[in-house]
Amino acid sequence: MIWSNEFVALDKSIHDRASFDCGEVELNEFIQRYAAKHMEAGISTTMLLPASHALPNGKYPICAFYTIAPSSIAREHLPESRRKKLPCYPIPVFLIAQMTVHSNCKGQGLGKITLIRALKHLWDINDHLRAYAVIVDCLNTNAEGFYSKYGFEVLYRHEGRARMFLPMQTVGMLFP
Amino acid sequence: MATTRLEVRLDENIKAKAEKASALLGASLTSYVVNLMNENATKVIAQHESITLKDDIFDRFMNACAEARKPNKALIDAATFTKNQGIK
Repeated sequence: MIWSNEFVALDKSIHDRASFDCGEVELNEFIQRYAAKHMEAGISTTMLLPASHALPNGKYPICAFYTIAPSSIAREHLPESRRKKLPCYPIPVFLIAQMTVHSNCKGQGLGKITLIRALKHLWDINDHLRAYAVIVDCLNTNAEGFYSKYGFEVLYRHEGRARMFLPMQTVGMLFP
Repeated sequence: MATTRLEVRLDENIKAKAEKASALLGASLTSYVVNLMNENATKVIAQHESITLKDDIFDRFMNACAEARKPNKALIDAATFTKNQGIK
């Protein structure tokens, strides 16, 4: 499958969600059933890299996608020194809620391309709406290995899954 | 403003129980259900959109953001690779 050269917003009338398969049921179901609904509801935005050629049904297969959303992080208890200076919390962050590559496109560096495009997208948003960090949820240890290779650090683990982060300042240094 | 309708098919027992609960609260079944939906939806959305951290983890996270490291070599190489591939 040959990919095109630009990530675009998911459009279910143009992009073929049914043929997407990355080998992870949870991510396949997300793009097939939830991504468009979440976008309509304003929960998250899904951007994808379509294939360069359409299928016989006229739709373009999806080579890779990422889903971003705003989120916030709060401290369980407010520190004494900050109590008088409200409102300090919660602080805004960006979430890469989903990110994956079609099985037919793996092993060609598309994972890191997708990560870079997602970070660049968030860096552009940060111009208008500041955030402290980019947060990712790791589905499994493979995902954790992928993100830690690129400098993400573990925030905490929950039910065996790691939630990781990369400071926005670090992202900024990547796009001078 | 109540301008849209929602039709629901449900278990008889649940309906009877909800009618009793709404009567106890002095509300109509409709306003009882609508309030319940509104409250729960607010909670679900807040849980979805916000993360709460234990104090020490939060402080460590804030320190890491304030003293952010430079991107590592793998990340810089990935950015260069993406640029060279011409993918926007």
